[in-house]
Amino acid sequence: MAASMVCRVRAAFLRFESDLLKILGLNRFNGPCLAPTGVNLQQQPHQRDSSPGVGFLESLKESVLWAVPRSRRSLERRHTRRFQHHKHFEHAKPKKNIIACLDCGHWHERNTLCGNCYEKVRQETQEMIAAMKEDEKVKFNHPDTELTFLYQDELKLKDQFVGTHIVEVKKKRPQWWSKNLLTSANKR
Amino acid sequence: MALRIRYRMRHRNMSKAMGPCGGPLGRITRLRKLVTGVVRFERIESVFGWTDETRGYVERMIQEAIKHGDRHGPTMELADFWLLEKDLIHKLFKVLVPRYQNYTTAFTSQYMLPNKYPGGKISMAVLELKGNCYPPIKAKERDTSQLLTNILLDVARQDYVLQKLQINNSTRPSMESASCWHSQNNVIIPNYVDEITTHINTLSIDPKTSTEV
Repeated sequence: MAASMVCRVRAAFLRFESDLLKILGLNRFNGPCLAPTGVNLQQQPHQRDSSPGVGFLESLKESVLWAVPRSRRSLERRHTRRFQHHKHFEHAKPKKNIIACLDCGHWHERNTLCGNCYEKVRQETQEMIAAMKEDEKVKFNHPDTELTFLYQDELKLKDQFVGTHIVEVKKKRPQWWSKNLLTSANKR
Repeated sequence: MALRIRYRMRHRNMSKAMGPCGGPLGRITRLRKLVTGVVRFERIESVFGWTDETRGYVERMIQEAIKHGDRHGPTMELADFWLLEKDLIHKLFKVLVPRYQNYTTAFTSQYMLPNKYPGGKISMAVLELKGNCYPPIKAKERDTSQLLTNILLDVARQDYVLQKLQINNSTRPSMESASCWHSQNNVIIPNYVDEITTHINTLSIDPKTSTEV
């Protein structure tokens, strides 16, 4: 199939070339000057087995080197390719790096965070960032001090954080996030 | 000055950072956006390769700001280039520099996020500035130095070091080390064994979290 396609492409190429030459007026007749009558001396470029002089487009094509195997693949390399299962087998191989989270027990890969534990943290972070974005003083013009996020039930502690800009988060502090973090001794 | 993180010898190409045919400019544009995001929000999630690249730039920028302060022209230009939102330049010099002034560790943390099955080649990661106000990603810092395996490994490490030093010390007068240059040339090797044993005993092993990248 490929060979016939190549032949068809080549034939089309030659036809195009001859037409182009006719248009450009570069069609030179390369046959003998003195010739018997009745013989068709015009070249027929669309014939498969004609091998006249090489046209300039075809010479271009001939100078291009098509990729081709240079040497026979050894048995070792063939076996390695076929039986090593290196392509598209990522999900066929068992994952041996799955561990249980020590805090919540959900499974995760050894090099990643626990998805369950992080999901809580991500949700809370998003809500705090939303509160930060709502605060007009922080939105486009970050203050020159650190930020402190205070939840609804902690707004009375504002006086402890004088040097910082307070962002009010309109909800209760989550149960799993310790209150002790707010004291000035272990603020961070 | 060295960065306090591991970084690659060569930059990543980030070929689709700003869409196809973005090129190096697309990479730089994306990195600027990410750096701006990290400095503004202090915790961002993105593709691991991108966060790893930005981490280097963020660390370097903060390091330069700490070293030179805000009266230094080239540092100001650096901040102006990387921070697309200009109020963050003030944040960098007035908030982040005092925060990180006395840090001996890196200023950022990076963690790999889990992939939902089946996943793909690309993993997501979260990059955050240390000392942020959000709930900590790692709630508990587990001290793993008292686990039996670690205790045994520490002792084994001490024994190995001592063994090596004792071999070196014992070969000074003996005939076995006839080929040893020191013994041939009567060079005095100072006794480091005592110094190093006292040093090992005072060492504290920091708990290393396995998921921190």
